[in-house]
Amino acid sequence: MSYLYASHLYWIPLLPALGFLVVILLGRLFKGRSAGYFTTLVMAIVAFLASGLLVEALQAAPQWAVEGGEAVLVRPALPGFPFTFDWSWLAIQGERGVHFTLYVDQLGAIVLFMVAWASLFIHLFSIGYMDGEERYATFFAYLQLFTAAMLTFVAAGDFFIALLAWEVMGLMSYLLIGFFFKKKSAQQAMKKAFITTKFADLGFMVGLFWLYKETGTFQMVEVGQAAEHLAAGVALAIGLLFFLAAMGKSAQFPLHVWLLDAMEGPTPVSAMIHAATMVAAGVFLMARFYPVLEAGHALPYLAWVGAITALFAAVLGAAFADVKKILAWSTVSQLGYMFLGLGVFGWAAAMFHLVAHAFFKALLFLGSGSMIHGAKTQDIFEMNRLARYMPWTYGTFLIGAAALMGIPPFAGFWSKDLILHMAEEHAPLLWAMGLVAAFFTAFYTTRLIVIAFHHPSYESPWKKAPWNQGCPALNLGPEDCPPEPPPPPDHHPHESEPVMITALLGLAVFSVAVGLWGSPIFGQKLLTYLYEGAAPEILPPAKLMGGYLLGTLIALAGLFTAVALYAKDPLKQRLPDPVVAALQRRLYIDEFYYKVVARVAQWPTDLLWIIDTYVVDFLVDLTGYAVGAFGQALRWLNSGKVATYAAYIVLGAILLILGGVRW
Amino acid sequence: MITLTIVLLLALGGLGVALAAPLLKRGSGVLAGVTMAIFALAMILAVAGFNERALIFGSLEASPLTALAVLLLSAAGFFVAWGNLARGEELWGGPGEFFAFLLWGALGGVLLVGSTNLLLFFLGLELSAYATYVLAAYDRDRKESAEGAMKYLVLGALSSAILLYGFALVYAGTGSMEFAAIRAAFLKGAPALALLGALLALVGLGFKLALVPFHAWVPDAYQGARPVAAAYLASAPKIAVGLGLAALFVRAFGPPDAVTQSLLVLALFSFVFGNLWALAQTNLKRLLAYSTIAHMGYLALGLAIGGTFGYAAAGFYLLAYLIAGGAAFFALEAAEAAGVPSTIEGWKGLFKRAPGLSVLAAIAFLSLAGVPGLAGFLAKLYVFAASAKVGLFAVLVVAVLTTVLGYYYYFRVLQAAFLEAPKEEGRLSVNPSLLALLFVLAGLSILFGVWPAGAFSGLEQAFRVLIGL
Repeated sequence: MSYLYASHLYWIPLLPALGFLVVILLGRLFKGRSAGYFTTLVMAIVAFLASGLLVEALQAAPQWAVEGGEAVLVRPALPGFPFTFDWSWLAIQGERGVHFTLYVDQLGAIVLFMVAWASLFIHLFSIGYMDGEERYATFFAYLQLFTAAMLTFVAAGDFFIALLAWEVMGLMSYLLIGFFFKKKSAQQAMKKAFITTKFADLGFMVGLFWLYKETGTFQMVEVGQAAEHLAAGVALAIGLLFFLAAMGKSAQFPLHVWLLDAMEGPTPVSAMIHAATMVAAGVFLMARFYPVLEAGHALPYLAWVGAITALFAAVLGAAFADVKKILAWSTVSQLGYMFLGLGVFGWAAAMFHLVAHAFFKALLFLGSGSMIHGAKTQDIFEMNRLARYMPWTYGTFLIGAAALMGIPPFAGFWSKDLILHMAEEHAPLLWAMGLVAAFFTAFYTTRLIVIAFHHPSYESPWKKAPWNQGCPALNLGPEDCPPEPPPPPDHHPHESEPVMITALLGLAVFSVAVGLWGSPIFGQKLLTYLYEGAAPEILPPAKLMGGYLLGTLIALAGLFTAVALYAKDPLKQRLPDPVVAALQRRLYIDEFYYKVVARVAQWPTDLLWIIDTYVVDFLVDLTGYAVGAFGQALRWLNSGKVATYAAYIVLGAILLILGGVRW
Repeated sequence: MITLTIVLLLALGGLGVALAAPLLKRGSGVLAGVTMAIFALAMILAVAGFNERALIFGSLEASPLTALAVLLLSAAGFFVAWGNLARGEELWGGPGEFFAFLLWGALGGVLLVGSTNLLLFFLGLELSAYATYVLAAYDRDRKESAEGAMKYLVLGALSSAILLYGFALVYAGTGSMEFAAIRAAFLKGAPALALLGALLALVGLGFKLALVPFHAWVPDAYQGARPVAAAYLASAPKIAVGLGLAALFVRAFGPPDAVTQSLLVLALFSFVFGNLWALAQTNLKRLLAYSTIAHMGYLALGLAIGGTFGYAAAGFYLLAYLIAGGAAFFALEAAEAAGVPSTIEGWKGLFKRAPGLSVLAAIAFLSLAGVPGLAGFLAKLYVFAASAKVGLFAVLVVAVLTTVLGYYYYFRVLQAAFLEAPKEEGRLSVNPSLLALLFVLAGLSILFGVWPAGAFSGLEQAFRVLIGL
């Protein structure tokens, strides 16, 4: 059996990488919006290829059916599945060389599909959104490389390749968050994101090298097979090191701090980081690493961190006025759900939520971009009855919001409730935390919609609050980080242009479709497709009914509470000042990092600096001077006189003969 | 028959070009086109007849190695003819001989590599050397050019004399000019006279390869010549002599340990001293000259190790050096044609003034330095892998350390071009045909750096046949 798309799957990561090269090298030739159209076209081809690949994977994957709560194998995988691609470099004379291995199984195919399509819509949206910005072409080049790195990461069959792609993503997030690098706050934010995730990446590297020492391989499949032979302690340690990396990338408490400030980047970047790439990478890494996590019994750590993050971020989400920050908190919280799902054996449920969340969060972020574009402000209080002016944005935003809140029949409802169901079985306490978080999710989402879309413009209530002066979370004072100006008084919101609306509509369709694909209405097809030997999530609808009912009720409770509180009097402050201040200053966690952790970390840094300057540099310089002086000294040998040169030749010949004859 | 066709094509093609030149008043472009077409045809024929085996006139062997020599030498000639398009019209005394000697030089190299007796070997060597004397002196109105070429000619004559004396001793010791008979005599235990002869031959060939201490002519000749001519000096004779040395070793000398050990010592001297000298250079042509010496040291290391893998590594080194070294000189040519002197001082801020040229030149310099992903890196890696395989670890350590010196002086050029401020403002208009040539060469550097397998298996095939495995 031959596969058309699968046998050429390397084009999927390669095309956007080439797109990056073309745009970055020929940047000058791309006038006006052409860079945007070009890269969007590249992404359209990639999305097409990824779709073909998914179709082939669906055909070739083992087929399961759910009968009475048990999964029954209908047909084993076709030969050639999972799809692989292997290319080696420097394999000299039987050496192993450097391998570039791609490995696409069920999960890989669907996440590639998700990344490609979400990225396509983000590209499309950016054509309009970034119009008129400086370095327009560069922006699209970055988006391309970011996408290429994520696609490589997802398709990697080798943890080492995955690490490389992971680091490229780190770099691209740094560059894109700091895209407006003339702003002090953007500079601080890009550094903060890079240092936080870099710290976590140490876990990836140390864990990876340790893993290689133990198993002698970087190949994911081989690692999976070797996992059960690892000593439990070692597996736990390696698992936690990898989890550290995932926590940083996926912004889990207490390494969530960078994600909020990543909002300094242009809004499509936020959509990119929050949906298609970056944060999904951490969750995906855990999914790929699952055998080791299970072998080391590391899953409870994931579950706890996930549940705490889900709850804490959902609560904070309700305290902010910046639409992007609210959505950022919601990302942190939703990622927490995914880790909770992974931690309570709900592997497939977590992956379902990953894919569903990617689409609806991309939709919400691009929707917020459209709102900001139309309203000329990011503050929901300053937005002016956007539902009247921006019907398309409003409608699509509602679809995304319903998915986020968990309103049936939208995506989040099916995926989140499945995770909660798994938690109920394995960790009742975490289940309760998840339910509370679900209430707050519905609450803050409704609050956002009610204020931004239905209320007339107010003076934003928090801008003048003493605790919001400057950017304490970025360690910047008021002079370096002035508050955003309100929209001009004569400004009237307007609907965004058609390319942007098209992107929103596309994402809305995908987010609904993915949700239905995994729902019992269509036989949980997505979950049976992902099934790999153990998927306790695959349950008959009757068993899930209780959870569904409870989930719906909680979502509605959150919704109505928010409507009751904000529909009439959105400006009323309901909590005492210190509480509001603490919430809006993110429980002072960021400031703790700046004031305490950074200071403590400075001491060894200073010491290393001294050693570097006075010992290492000295030795390096010494070597350089010595060699340079030697080179100069040798110059006199080249006198320029032919006779001397001839003498060298004759002398050399005599020496050779003497040496050769003596031999 | 295909090999014979190639030989005739190059010989008659050269004749035709030389005769037609006076008829054309301003015909440099036409002649360049004809020359390039002849070279291209030779390459196509060589690919078609790669596996041909025949003995032509009892002294020229058609074999994959000969075809390989045709391919590499024609490529070198092709690129140099292309590179000469930029200033061919206005600067040269007359373009005819330039192109004719390109063709004849390639012919000499082919005869040298394919020869089966000492006589043809020597004739081929001299023919290819004459081409380089003429090209080095071509810019005769300039004093440095005349000076460098004259030094080269005098020293070349000396080395040829030594080589010829060596061949005479080999004949005296073995009683034959035929490689096969010489080989049989060496296998029985080298007669002392013949061994002496082989060592003297090594001196002569070491001169052509620019190995220390027979290198002293190189900086002066390169500095005097136009960069295009220097590109030819740095590529074609090295290819001919590099492959010819391997052929001579295998077909005639055996070779005895004394010879390979001597070559190893020359190699060691070359990459140590070549790199050290290059450090102190400020003139880019001299810098590249010393870097050539160092590169030929690495090449000689592969040749001294021998065996299919050692020779193939050396062959790949020639290929990578032909591309990157040629590109570096063509970049100098392009810069000189745009009015930028070939000094580090002159190249300051070149990136601001000619970004395309700078980037393409950078790829050439990075390949020369041996940056992964480019052909130059793999070339060094193959040679180093070969020396590791035969257990030459001490030499290997020295070789790897000296490449670090290479990084220093290549990056100094790049630092000047990319990081420093230009002395003059304004964009330079770079000759488009040279830019296109540099683009092709950069692409080849990347291609062979990423996908060396095709070229390398061809090389291994050629040397496997030579050794008779």
